[in-house]
Amino acid sequence: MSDSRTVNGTVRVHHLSKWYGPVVAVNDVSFEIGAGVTGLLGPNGAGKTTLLRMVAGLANPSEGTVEVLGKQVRNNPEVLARIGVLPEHDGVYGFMTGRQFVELNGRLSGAHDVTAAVDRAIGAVQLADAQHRALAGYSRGMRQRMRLAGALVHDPGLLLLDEPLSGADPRQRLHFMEIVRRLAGEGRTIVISSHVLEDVEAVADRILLMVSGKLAAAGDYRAIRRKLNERPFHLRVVCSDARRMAAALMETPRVDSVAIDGDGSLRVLSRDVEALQRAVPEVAQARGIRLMRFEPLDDTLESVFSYISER
Amino acid sequence: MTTAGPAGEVFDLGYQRYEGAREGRGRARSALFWDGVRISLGLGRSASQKVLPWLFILLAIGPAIMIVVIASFASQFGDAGEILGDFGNGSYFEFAFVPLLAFGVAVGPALLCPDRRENVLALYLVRPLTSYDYVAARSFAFLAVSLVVTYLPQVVIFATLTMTSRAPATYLTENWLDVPRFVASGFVISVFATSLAMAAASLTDRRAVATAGAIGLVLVLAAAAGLLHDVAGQAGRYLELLQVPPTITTVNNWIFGEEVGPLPGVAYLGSVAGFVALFAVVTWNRYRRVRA
Amino acid sequence: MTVLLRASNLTKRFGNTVALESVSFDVHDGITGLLGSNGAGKSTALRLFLGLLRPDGGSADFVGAGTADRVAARQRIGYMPEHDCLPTHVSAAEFLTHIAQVSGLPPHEARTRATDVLRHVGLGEERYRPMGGYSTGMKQRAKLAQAFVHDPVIVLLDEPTSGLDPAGRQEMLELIGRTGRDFGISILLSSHLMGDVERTCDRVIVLEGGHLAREGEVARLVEETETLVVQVHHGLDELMSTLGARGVAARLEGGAIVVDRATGEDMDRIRDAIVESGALLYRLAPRRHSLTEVFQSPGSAA
Repeated sequence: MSDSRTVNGTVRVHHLSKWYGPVVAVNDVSFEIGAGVTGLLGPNGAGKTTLLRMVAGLANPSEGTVEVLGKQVRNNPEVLARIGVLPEHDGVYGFMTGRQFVELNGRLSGAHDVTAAVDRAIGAVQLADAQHRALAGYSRGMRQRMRLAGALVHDPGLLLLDEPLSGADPRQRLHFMEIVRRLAGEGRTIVISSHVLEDVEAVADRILLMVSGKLAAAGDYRAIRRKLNERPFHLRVVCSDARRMAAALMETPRVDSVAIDGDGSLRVLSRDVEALQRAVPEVAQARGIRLMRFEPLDDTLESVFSYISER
Repeated sequence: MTTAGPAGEVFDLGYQRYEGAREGRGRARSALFWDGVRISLGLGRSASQKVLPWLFILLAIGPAIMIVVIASFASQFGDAGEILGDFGNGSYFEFAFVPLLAFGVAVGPALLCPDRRENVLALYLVRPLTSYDYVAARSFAFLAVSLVVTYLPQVVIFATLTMTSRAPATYLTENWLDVPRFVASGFVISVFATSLAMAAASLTDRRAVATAGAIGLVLVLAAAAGLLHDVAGQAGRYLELLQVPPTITTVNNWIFGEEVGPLPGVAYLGSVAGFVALFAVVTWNRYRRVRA
Repeated sequence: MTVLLRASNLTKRFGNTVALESVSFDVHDGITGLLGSNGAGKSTALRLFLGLLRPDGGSADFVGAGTADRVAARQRIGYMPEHDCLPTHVSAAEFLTHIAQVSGLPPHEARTRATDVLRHVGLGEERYRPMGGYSTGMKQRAKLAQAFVHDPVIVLLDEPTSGLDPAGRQEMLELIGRTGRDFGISILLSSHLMGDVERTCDRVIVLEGGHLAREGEVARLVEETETLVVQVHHGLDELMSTLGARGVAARLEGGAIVVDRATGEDMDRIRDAIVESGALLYRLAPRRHSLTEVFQSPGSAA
């Protein structure tokens, strides 16, 4: 494994823009990401695919720069050889065996010692048993994994995966995510673009959220949530005496509102979540109320996504 | 459930279950039929959708209008029938056949192609009808429109000739046979045009391709038969049967009691019937394998 | 609980591929999920129930139809296909009225139903414009509307969130939930996303490689355990030791504190330990099972 993969700042994007006539697909985007899994998210038309294509060297920026491993991507075969791409829609020749497909990719991308590289790639996706079968006979999940092997064969430091799990069932998804985690653990930088937020939530170390061509948020989604101050935090509290707890909480500064749900649980809104995190156990203890549940309700990637998209 | 107070009422606008009549397959077929009629005439659609059907309809009834005008004008000077000579119910289809066929192949595919192209067929096939119901309703809808376009001018011509002749009553008693004749002949033409259009529409999802294909087929048959005729000599007589437009006019003339040759009139009718059967089988077959 | 659809030893092959191999299951009233990858046989099963395909073995029966006539029975079933299927030059209002008639409703009733259903799915003024100009969200609503304009007993939805971005997916799932719960129409929802099923369905049927892998109530499969999980922002070690001092049997698991079979007294002790140790409480909740566990157990190879 070469060192260049573990250097932080594997992908460095600087004031990147891309327009097609009046349509600005990517609008002045800057970020830097390194090893680990980054989720690229956004509503339809946000510019995710265009961004990925520029990072992969498949499209030229209108403005700004894209650097991978410290070098510009444009027309640079040396850098392109360190990038693996798994586009959303890709045909594979059904009559080929899995192994032949990966070998073809290996030769096309100039991998060294193709046989060993192919063995390693097929091993990484755990398809050694099936490698000599024709692709036409593969299940959806297996085909995706073999395509991933094809993208891996030249040992790229950067992997760009666009909706890699479309059509995969839950078991295939878990399996695929395990593989991705392991690859990231080897020091690679992996970017996954997906609409299925629960997949990204399970595997990503950080996210890039795009809206209308611009970068709306970046980083750990929980940290992002905390920065959205104008949105009060929703928390659910279940305790042994809802009304007394509610009354006490309303006396707490920074609590915006407390509502009692039909099932007797409390829904608390507060702009200062830390104050609440201290207050609830203290209030419960002081008044002898049993605390059974304390849960943030909108600390999910889904909530962050919708808050940011709606801004 | 309404809540009526002294000052106001709130009405329940929630989802209601449907307890009314369910008319099953019959209603489904009739709905498809009438929708097919609307498509054939371009009704309820944008202006551009109306152009094609009405253009060909006008072309088809053009000769009739001409005949009516001439007859009305001529009746001032004498017996319109004599002046018009051969122009009348019997020969009408010789002129109108091509526009009628064109109407068929230009507009007919609109009944089948868009549903497949836009994948709407899937939504129809899960309704209370079979794929045969669907194709039959669509085909008969177009046939119905085609028959109206075919018969109406003939009726107008016959009425005009009757009224503009010197002795209408006499004209009627002498020529009343023309009516069942044009009904039969018009039926042959409409059925032929419809079945050709439906078959072409079954083989491709694109309307324009279906139209072009149908026209191409007719031209190719005519040309091939012509070529082979020169080569084959005696046996070539039978190849005439493949030349579709002349064959149909021959049938028309045969129905109207004229001498036809070299083969007996029934042979030409048989040829047309054969083509219709072939087209029907092609259409049938396409909708046999239901794919949604 | 009535059975609406029944698959008995259902088998279907396409050439050499076996899409369904002797599968048996019942679909009851309520909202049922059919979970599996594309190619696992879900779409095939739907099409067999709808009469679009004939089985090679066994049967797929719409037993809730109230009639043995397979063609007439289709008046009581609805279908929302995955692919685009709306005519582009027709408005939603016009198309819904027409399709309601093709489903057997007399013309006047068809128009009334069409108007009401379009309101229920949330299509406003746009219903009078040709559907070719609709956004994806509007098209999905129109597609769903045509599936139940004739008030069917059950509606079959094929991958209704396919291709939708997170906001669109959320809206569609809410609409489906409303259709099932508020309108009282039973639903069979076919999807390859666990989230779709977890969020909307009462029951789930899992297909893998053409076989029935699992079936059961979603609530049962995602129910809470007696294990309590405590997550804090800082002060984890202090809290652990304080808990130990107060006699709570706690252990560390992946950055969180886990207490098995927590009693009420345990909860009080945990509360006091949190206050005493000064840890910042992030979450205190029972651990839930998840549908994921169904797929982590050994099953047919993907």
